[in-house]
Amino acid sequence: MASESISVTTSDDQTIQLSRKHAQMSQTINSMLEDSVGADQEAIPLPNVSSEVLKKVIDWCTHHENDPAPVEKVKKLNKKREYKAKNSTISDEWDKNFVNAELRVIVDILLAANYLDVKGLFELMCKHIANELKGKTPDQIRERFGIQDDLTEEDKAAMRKAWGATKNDS
Amino acid sequence: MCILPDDLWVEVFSFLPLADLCAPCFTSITLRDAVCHLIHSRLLYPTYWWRHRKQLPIHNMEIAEWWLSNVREPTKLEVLAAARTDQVELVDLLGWDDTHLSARHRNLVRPQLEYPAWNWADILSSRGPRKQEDHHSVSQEGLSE
Repeated sequence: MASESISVTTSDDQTIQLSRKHAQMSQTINSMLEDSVGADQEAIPLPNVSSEVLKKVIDWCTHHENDPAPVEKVKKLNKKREYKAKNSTISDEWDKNFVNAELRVIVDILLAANYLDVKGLFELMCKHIANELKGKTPDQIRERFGIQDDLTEEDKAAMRKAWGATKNDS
Repeated sequence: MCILPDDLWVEVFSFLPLADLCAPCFTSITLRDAVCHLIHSRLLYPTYWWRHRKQLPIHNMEIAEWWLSNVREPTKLEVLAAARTDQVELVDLLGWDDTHLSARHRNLVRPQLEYPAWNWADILSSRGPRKQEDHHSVSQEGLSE
């Protein structure tokens, strides 16, 4: 019979126990478990995730452990055959508190969710960053996310034209 | 150094309405390329969208002032969007009609079906039914006082 908990080793050499239910919410760990059926149960190495971030991931998994499994939806065009962005509303109050953290932490969790392939958590972090971008000017986006302005004046003129500039300088 | 890896921006942008993709285009090469990739991979007719359907963001005064100074003058789509979200100050900024716009802008956008001339009556009628009800009830209260 499969053990009820799984050991994982984080990037800072901490060994952490995960319940099998939480481990299976990560497609990456799930695949590793399937590949190692019958083998000695050694701790699964997670070289890209620190113990601090993994604990956050486990917190999220604990809150969402009874959620229905995410279904891969095929993006359909609406009746007018127009593109519609994914819904960025975060409706769960617990999730709203969860994303109320420093950007550095948010990005670390996003990277961990991407590496561990925890779809719901990955989407939550993407939604939060998307909401952060709304209403910000390019300068504000650069400042918030530590981005360097490497666009040339020609690049910017081309973008102005693409977005419909009707001024004489474009 | 950017704290988000390049390849994740497209995922983040997929949660943004198309109008909100404008500012990232003017941020860096990576973000601009991610926006263009998203538009060209998800839209059925991207060229048509770039030519006729693009819309600029109206979340607040700051972003509108940015694109008014750096990108272009407003179209009817943006004014109606501001009116729908009841941002009167923003409508004031964009204009209650299109007579203040440059002749060049009007000539370029008016012939397109999506961007006809606009006037204050159009803008007021675009406001949501709830907003109109709110204003109706406010005026009723005012009458009974």
